[in-house]
Amino acid sequence: MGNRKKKIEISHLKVSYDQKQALNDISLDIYENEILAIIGPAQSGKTTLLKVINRTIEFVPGAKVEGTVKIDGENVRGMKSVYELRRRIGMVFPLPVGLPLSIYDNEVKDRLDSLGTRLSGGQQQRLTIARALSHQPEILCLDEFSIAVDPVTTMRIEDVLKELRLQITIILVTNLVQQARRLADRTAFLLNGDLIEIDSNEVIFSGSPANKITYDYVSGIFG
Amino acid sequence: MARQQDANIVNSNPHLPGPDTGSFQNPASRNAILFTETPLARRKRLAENMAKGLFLLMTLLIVIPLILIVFYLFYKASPVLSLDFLLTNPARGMRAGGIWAAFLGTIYLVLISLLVSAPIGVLAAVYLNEYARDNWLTRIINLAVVNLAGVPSIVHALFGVGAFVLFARMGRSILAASLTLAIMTLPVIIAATKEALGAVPMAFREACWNVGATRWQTIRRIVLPNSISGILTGIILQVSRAAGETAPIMFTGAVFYKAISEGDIFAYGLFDQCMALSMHLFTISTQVPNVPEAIPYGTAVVLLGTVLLVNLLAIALRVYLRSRKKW
Repeated sequence: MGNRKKKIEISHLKVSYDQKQALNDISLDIYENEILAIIGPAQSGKTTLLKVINRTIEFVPGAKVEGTVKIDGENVRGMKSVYELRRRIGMVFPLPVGLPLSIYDNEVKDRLDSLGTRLSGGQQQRLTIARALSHQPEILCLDEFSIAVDPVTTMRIEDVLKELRLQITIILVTNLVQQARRLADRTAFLLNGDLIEIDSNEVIFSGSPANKITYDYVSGIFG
Repeated sequence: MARQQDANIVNSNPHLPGPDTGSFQNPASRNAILFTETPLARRKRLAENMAKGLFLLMTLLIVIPLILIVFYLFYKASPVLSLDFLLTNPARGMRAGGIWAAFLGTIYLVLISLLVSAPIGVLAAVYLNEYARDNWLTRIINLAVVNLAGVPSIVHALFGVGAFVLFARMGRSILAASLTLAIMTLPVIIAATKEALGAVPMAFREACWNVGATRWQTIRRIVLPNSISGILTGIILQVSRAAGETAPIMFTGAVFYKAISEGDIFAYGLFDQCMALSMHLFTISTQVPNVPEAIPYGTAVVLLGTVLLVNLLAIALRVYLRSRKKW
C-alpha cells in the first residue's frame, strides 16, 4: 500500500461554520484507484469533507477552511479554475437532483427528450451518477447515494463502482457500515469532526481495529 | 391472560355484534357497522363543511364587487364607447370628443417606466439573491428596498420633481414622469423577483455547481428558466399600478389638456408633456363642470380595459411558460 500513488492528500484540515467546528484537524491520504469509504454518524463531518475537496464549501455562507487539500500534489485552493477542478471530481448526493432539463441536457443518452425530473427516484440517482461521470472525472465522490434507491438498483450501482475503481478514485460516504465493508478497500471513521481511525477494511472490520469506539460503531453497538 | 382480556374488550364493544349473532359471517352487514359514522367523525365533517362554506363565501365577497364594478362601468359608459372615442382628442373643453391623447400618454408612461424599471429591478434582484453575501451591506439594501416599496406615491412625485424635472433638467416631460413611475415600481419588482428566484430549490443550484458550472451558467440555465413566470407576474402587476397612479405624474409630466395628432402612435416625444388616463379621469370628474356623465365612465372603462388586456397577455404568457416548466 505504501508505494501506491497518492491521489488526494488532506493535511490538518479544519472547517468551521460560524461558531460550530465541523472538522478538527483531519489528515488523510487517498490513493489512486481505491475505494475509500467514510463512515460515521450524522454531523460527523463526512459531507463537509467532500465539499472541501471540490471547493463547493465556498458556497456555504460562514464556512471557514484551514489546512490543505492537494490533488495530484496541487493545492485545490491555489487552482486557477475552480470549475475545472469541479469537472475533475464527480459528485453524487443522497437525494438525486434531476435538474429540470431534458435528460439530454443532463448529459445522458437514453430517453433523451423526456425531463430529468419525471424519472423515478432510482432512475434519477442513476441519472445523477451518469451526469457525474459525463465529464470523465478522475475522482468520484458519492454521498450516501443509496438512500433513495431500492436494493436491487443499489447492488447494480455497487457493481458499476467496483468496475469504475479500475479507472478512477472513489470516495464513498455511507451510513451503511455493510456497504463500506462490501465495497471499500479502506475505511475512515469520522466522529464529531474527528478522524478516529483510517485503515484497510481487513483491519477495520476484523474485530480488532485500533480504536474500541470504531469497533463499537462497525459492530453496531454504538451509533 | 392478556389475550383473554382482549377478547372480552371486543365482546363488550356495543358497535360490534356479539359472536353469537353470527353476523360476522355476513361481510356486508359487518362493513355497514364498521363504517357507521361515529359522533366524532360527524362533528369533524360538520366543522369541515362550515370552514369550506365560510371560505367560499369570502371568495364570492371578493368576486361580486368586481363583477358589479365592471358591469356598472360598462352600463354607464355605453353611450360613448366606440373606436372613435378611443381615437379622437377631447373637444369643447373636454365636454365632448374622445380620449386619444390621454390613452396614448398612459401607454407611453407605462411602457417607458417598465423599460427602465424591469431590467434594473430584475438584475438587482438576481444580484441580491444569487451573488450577494449575507452581510450588513446586503441587509441594509434589502431593508431599503422594502421601505422604498412602502413610500406613498405622492412622495415619489416630489422626488421626481426634484431629481428629474429640476436637477436633471428634463423639465416636466414624459421622460421625467416615466422615470418617477419607474422609481416607484422598482422596489416591488425587486421584491417579487427575489421571491420567484428564492422558490427555485437550492439543490438545483448545488447540483449545477457540482458539475462545474459557474454561477452565471447556473443562473442562466437553471435559476432564471424556472422562475421566469414568477418574475413576469411581478412586472406585469406593476403595469396596472403605473397606469393607475395619478400623483407621481401630476407634477412631473402629465397635463390637463394637450391636443395631439389623432391616430398617430408616435405623436408624443420623450420631452413632450402628455395627457394620461388617470389624470384625465380626475380632471373631468372634479375640475370641469357639465361633462356628460358617460365620458368619465368611458375613460374608466378604457383604463380598466387596458390594464385587463395587459394582464390577459401576461396570463397567456405565463401559461405558455408554465407548460414548458420542468419540475
